[in-house]
Amino acid sequence: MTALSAQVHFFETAHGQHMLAVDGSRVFDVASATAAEFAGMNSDDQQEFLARLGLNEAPYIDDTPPTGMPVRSLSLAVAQKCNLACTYCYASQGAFGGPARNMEWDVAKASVDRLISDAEPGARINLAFLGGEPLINRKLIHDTTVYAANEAKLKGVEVGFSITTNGTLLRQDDASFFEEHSFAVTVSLDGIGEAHDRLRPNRGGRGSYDTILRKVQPLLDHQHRMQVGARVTVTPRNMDLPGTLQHFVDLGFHSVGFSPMLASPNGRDQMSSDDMNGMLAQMIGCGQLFERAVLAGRRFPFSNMAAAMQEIHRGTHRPYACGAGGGYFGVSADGDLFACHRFVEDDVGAMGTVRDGPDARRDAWLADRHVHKQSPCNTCWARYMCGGGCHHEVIHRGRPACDYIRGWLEYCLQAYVRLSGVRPDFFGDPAAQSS
Amino acid sequence: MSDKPEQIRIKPRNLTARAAYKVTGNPDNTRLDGSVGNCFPGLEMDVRDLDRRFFPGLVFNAVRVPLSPFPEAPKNTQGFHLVFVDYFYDPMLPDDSSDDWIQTLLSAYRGDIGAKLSSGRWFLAWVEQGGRRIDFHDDDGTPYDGMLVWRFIRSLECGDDNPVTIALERRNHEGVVDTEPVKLQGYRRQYRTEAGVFDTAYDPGELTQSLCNPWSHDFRDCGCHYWPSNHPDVVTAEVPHDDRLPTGAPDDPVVAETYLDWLRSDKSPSGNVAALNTVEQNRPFQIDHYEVNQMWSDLPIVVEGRETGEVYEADTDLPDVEPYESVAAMVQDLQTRLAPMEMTLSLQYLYAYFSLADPETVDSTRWPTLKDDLIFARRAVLEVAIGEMTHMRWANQLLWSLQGKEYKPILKPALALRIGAGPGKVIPRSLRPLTREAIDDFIEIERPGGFIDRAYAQCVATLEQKTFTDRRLYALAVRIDTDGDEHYLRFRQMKEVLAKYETKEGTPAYLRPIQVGSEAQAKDALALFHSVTTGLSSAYEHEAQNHFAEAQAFIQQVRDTMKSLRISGEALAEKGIGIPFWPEVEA
Repeated sequence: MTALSAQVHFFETAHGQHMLAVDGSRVFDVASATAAEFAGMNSDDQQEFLARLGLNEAPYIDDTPPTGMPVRSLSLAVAQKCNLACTYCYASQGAFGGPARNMEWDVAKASVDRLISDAEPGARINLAFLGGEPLINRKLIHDTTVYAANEAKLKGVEVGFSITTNGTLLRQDDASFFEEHSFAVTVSLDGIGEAHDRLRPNRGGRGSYDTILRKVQPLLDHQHRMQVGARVTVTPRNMDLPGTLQHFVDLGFHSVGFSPMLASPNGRDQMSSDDMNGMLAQMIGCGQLFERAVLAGRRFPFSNMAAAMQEIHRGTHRPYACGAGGGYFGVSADGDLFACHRFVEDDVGAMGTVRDGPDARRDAWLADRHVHKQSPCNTCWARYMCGGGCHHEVIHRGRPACDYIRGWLEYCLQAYVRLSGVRPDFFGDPAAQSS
Repeated sequence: MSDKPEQIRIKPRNLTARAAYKVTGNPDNTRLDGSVGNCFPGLEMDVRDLDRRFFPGLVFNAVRVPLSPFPEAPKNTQGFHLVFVDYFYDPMLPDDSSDDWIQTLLSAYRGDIGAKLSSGRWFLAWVEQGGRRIDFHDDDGTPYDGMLVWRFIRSLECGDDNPVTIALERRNHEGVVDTEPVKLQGYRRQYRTEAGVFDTAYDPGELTQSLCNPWSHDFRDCGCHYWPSNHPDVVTAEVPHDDRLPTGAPDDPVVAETYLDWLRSDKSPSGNVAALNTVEQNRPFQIDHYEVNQMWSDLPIVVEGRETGEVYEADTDLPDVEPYESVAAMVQDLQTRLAPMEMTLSLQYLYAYFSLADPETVDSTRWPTLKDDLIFARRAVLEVAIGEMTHMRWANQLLWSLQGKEYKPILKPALALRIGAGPGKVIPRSLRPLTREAIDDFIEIERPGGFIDRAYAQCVATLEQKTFTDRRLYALAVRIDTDGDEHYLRFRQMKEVLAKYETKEGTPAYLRPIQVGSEAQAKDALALFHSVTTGLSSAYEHEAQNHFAEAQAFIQQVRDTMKSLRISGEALAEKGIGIPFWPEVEA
């Protein structure tokens, strides 16, 4: 039984006091003294308080892990090698600690076949190209994309493509190909100029920033159905987040997102808990830029915040942090299935082959990774919004970022209350009124 | 527990919170998506429940006379029974109000009156509004049934200028009033706010508490007529497109007259046999309870009494019908052609009616079915004749509505009739028996899309233009316009029914051999007819000037005269004489 204090979370804004009912991620406005009253109650009274709010019904999330989920998304490690030498790379410069190699056509084809065979007509599937640096194996990406698009069309399935690239190998003609197939292109950029170059040098030690921007420009110019985003890995050495965010937004990226470097294979550039406090302040600075833009009715593509706002509005509640091992898997160059792209060649996340589909290890994974099984998650109010944290980071480093996550979610909840009152239209909700 | 908040104020903000939020006290079926109102708009509540709180601070139940009372039960329990006094949260009675009547009521409820009402069985004895009192007792003192009282309560008006006085009486075990009545003054509750929201005096669930739930599974035999009120008992069959008249009715008179049981289980064409006369007789051929649950969505949609298929086609406009060039042109056409034609048709049909033999005196040995067929034919032709008379009245009404003071009644029969589509052909008017040839001509005259039909379609097209704000005129023209199909079908039925009596030798058995009589022979009948036309003329002139009472006196006189004319016409026909409604010479 979860402690009652972990079933609700009170927070305040200028509008008054609010309550997150953890089950179902429900957000309520409450009278100003409610938090203090609740804290002063014994557990029976707390129980009755929740019952009177109608919060004692069958929980939205129980302990049962999902079974028999179809495979909806695969990321293909099309090239387990890289031309950069990023200091913190989870793939250890692309090869995941093994020999550098490219994926062969038969593995890529088998991956597409796996997705198609699991999808009923009308379903949506996703195919992601990752590495290493995937563009090293450009021909396979082209062949696989065309094959998947045709197969999907034959079966009446919707297919989405994405690629995560370091941007250094982009060519002019990639823009039209990605545009034609509506790719979501994510370019890893860790800062502006030197800040980026310090973290993402090429193998000769030279910076890559100028090259990347030059090569990304045609994509930014062409994006229509294609969406080009920037992804910033935050380390102690690139902490000017609002500046970075504004710069990339101005460059025309469709989205800009940040995530902290919590677990690198060699420990380099990992964030300490002090660093995480600093990052939280920086993220809130970014969030305030976002709030100002939304209030002014402008689109502002700060993806962490935009996603959080929509998820809070919908009351998204999840027993896992992501779909890894559920509907999403990483495929290694050899055709083995792993829980996600980060677990490629990592026995902890191995769960079968793409030809035979996920095996029994996947059920064990889902049972084991359920947030109710995680400690201290089962006493944390943020558990259904966070889902227990990135499996890769948690397994390899633990949970050094919980305070950061709670701090960020607290800020997001407050921002949601502020924005949903004044700009209900941002949430597709013209009928809502400010309180 | 002492520091527990008394009332938790809470407002759901995001989508999951809003979806799961339940107002305290409301059962699930008060949510709109779960209520009857989702399927049966208008049946989401029982309107009778509104009136139980018609008077501020009091709650009544309408109690019926018990069907099988226990001998030892209290007597005279029927009526508007006071359930309890409920003034604490009545929105009509705020305790800080400065209105005298509110403070008077409140102190009555708080004081002796409240105490008095709390003991014994109290009933509404009378209500008074606008100087009129309605007492809820029979002459012998027996209290009215609760439903009867409810109907009177419904007639009370709300509003600041309509104060209501009520009296409550206490009845003892024997049903006898045993103390002084309690009189209270106030106002009838306004059940809905300006915004259309129910008064907050009603508790959650109060307005639905007396509804049963017949639509859950046994609605087929619902005794409260909620479900039956929404479905037809009998219908006519769907008509293939090519077999339809322009209104969508079948052109085959047999199909048009064959009523099918809507709940019949055999939906194939072979199942299209006429429904029997009673529910019990049809019962074995209907879908059963459990089948209703499975097949309710297969039951056909019924529009205008007919089952419709995938697509309902509304009454299609006749092609190429243009509005009149001007109102003056329409008035002229109504005066010179349409109204006189209606008069001619009425009289032709009336003449034909008298030509039909008396059902009571026919040779039933030779013609066993003749009596029944004559009863049918006489009724049918009279109906059509009356229909034309009605049209004549409507045509006149259109004229007086359009002409105002200029109006002069048009009651003179036309000399000729125009039949067929387009310009058609002109045939002279003629008084003749209902022979086969006559029926054929009548069918042509009434055929949908023919001249008369188009003429009224033209009136409709003119009056539906936006410049005419008076929609009653448009509705009137539509009524005349859509009436023709019925006449057409009636004559086709008559033709079918009467054909078997055509022996090609002499007069068919259904006719009496009448000939147009002379003025002298029909003197009395013609005098009556003259009285009819002059009476109608006076009635229409009065009505045109909104002198309805005077008009009604003339109409009544005309009706009485028409009855005499019918008797006179029958007597003449017995002697082989037809009434010469117009001189025969011009033919």
